Amino acid sequence: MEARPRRDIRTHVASGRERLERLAALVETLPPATFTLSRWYGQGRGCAVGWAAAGDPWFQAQGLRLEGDGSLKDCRPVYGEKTDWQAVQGFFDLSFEDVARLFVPAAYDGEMQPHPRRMATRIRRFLAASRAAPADLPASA
Amino acid sequence: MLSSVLGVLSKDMAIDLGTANTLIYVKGQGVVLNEPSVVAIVEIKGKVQVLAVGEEANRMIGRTPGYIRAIRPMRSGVIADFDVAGEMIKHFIRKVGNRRRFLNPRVCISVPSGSTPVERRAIKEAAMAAGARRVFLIEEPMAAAIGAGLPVTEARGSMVVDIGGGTAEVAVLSLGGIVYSRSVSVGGQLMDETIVAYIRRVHNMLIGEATAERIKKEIGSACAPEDGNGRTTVVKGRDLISGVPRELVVSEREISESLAEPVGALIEGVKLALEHTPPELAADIVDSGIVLTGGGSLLGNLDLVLRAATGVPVVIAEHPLICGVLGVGRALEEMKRLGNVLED
Repeated sequence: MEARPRRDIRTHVASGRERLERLAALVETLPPATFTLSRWYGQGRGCAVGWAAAGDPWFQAQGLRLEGDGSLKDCRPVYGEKTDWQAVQGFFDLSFEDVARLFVPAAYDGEMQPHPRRMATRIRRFLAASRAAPADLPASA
Repeated sequence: MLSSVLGVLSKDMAIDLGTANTLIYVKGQGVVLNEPSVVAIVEIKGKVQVLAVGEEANRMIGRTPGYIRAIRPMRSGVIADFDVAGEMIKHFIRKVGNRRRFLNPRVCISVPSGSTPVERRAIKEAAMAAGARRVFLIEEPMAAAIGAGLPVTEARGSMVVDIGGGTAEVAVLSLGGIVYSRSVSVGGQLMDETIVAYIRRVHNMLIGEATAERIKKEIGSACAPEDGNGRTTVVKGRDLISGVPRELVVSEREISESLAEPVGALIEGVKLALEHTPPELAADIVDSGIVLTGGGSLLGNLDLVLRAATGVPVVIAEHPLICGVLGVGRALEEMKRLGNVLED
């Protein structure tokens, strides 16, 4: 069998919805002690997006990555040309309001360390409530 | 004979080599130097040269062109760059040691308790190269305890928690020796970085470490206020969406939540030290309490949180910021009484 040239191997470009479903599945596997909403990622702790960008090959193959992870203050998610919350919006194809509804402490009664399962449930409820959106179209970087 | 004559003509120097700041104490003059442990280096045709050290180099951080680098040779309480650290020590000793007044002084330098023999030798060699007649080393927790006035040479247990810029050193001391010591990777810099990361993640705003340090000093607290959000402060930074500068009001509650993790690690370190303390010494510590030194000890309510977590009285040293260098100086001055705590 002939090996295919690298340029011919295409990564499935998931929709924002599929990416959120994957994120919910990832979040509920995180030990609560490693989960925090106070930083993207660093010192062995991070938020859902931080963990996805730092250590999950599926999310990394989709173009989500972490920059500056050697330093707590510089660490941020990057998607295409976008960083921080703009990267999150772009990657999951969400509005800024939806991002706030899912990922910021205010959505969890101001708690910095909500249980990861609570976030997973919230993401799934959000997906159930918005069958049509985010669009099932591939997200663009 | 020659040594005693030189001793009269020269003035001894005590150096506290910290991750954030380096302090020098001279007998009879007090603390004569307190500058950031920063060195600016320039690379010309592949050759590295020191451009500025201390305050001057610190002003260059974030403002240098590509070929100049402002670096901190000490990181997390250890020497990260031997050569640059050596240059920094030389610069500071020469700056303080006006050659007309100082004739090859004796120098005593505090080193982290976890520093290796190689690191210790590098520090000694740098001081000798700067013109020191003789170099002594003293472990940081010991220096902090002496500076805080603890009875380190008595057959009585004392516990000191020295929270510096890079690390916190927790130590139990008795009879002039360190019975137990533990280095916790929590210091002022980590607290600042935690605040930067928090403002970035939660408020989508980028602030510098100097701003984070100001927030920590103004409203930083080891525990959340009992009612409401506590004190507030205005923070200026760059909005990460619009890219333009903006203002934000942050509360004591928010900052205490962002600092919960480093404070938790510190409490764990102290608890572990207490667990490993021999019972007789532990009984002494229950009576005399835990003494906090270093800049990190000034974090609001840290003493109360540690007291609540351990059940042991906690006090902040009288001069927490200069305890270390005062202790080094005292050890050098009272060589007869404290000579056994020094490493020749």
